[in-house]
Amino acid sequence: MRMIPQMANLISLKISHRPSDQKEEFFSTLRNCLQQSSFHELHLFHIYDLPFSVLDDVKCIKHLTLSNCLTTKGEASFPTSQLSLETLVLSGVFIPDLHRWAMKWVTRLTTLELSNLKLDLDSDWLAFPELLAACSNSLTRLRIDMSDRCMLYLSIIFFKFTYIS
Amino acid sequence: MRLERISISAPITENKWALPEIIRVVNTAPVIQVVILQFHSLFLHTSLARMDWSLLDRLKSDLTGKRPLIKLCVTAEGRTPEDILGALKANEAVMDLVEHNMVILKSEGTSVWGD
Repeated sequence: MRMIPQMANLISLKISHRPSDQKEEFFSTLRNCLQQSSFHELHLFHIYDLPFSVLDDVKCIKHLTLSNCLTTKGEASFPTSQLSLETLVLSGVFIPDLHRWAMKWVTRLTTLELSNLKLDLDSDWLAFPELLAACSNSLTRLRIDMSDRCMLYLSIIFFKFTYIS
Repeated sequence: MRLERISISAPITENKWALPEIIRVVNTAPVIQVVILQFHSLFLHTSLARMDWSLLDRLKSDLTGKRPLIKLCVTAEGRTPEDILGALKANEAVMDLVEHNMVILKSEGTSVWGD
């Protein structure tokens, strides 16, 4: 897999779109990269079939960005190790399952950024306030960018968050 | 909540009620120090006039009696930073908050964390 080079001390990786073919090989190579102890930052953009299990094996990651990423439909996954994510950035397509899954990783989160999330009020948007509540004991920085979305969402997120917490 | 800093970007076309929501969350964080508000406006003077800025006076103090500092950055389509600063200075409610050291006006290009 040429897209992700094999490097012994990779610290940070930013990937936008995966190759249309070689799906299995791509995620296998990505999984190997993420298991390196030097690896701290992962930024994924426009990955439309991301298996949860790829991220479950990550051990040392501190910063995770998921922008317009979709997960494999119907996949249920439980992290095998306790991660210590410090920064989580979520933007673009909103997937309740992904946010619920991320809750298991955010007990030590200090920075959370939510930006340009494409919310559907009919979908399970309750995942947001639940995510906020899950990291409320460690979170010191919260950024919400609703620049191009209806302010109604902000109201709902905050209202539900204060209700849950 | 241990939240020390909250940063919110939002339009201010129809959101007169956005401030109460923001204040409600800020007031649940007892040690919050900085609130960064980045508001985007289509109709600068009208939008600023619509906002009930005095609501920001409802932010609670922390245990030491200090209120969180509000860093306010307004952007507007087709307006220069000078236009925006002029509009903010012409708004009595905003300037009242500035004079009481509750609000610092920040220019466009301020980082999302207000630094």
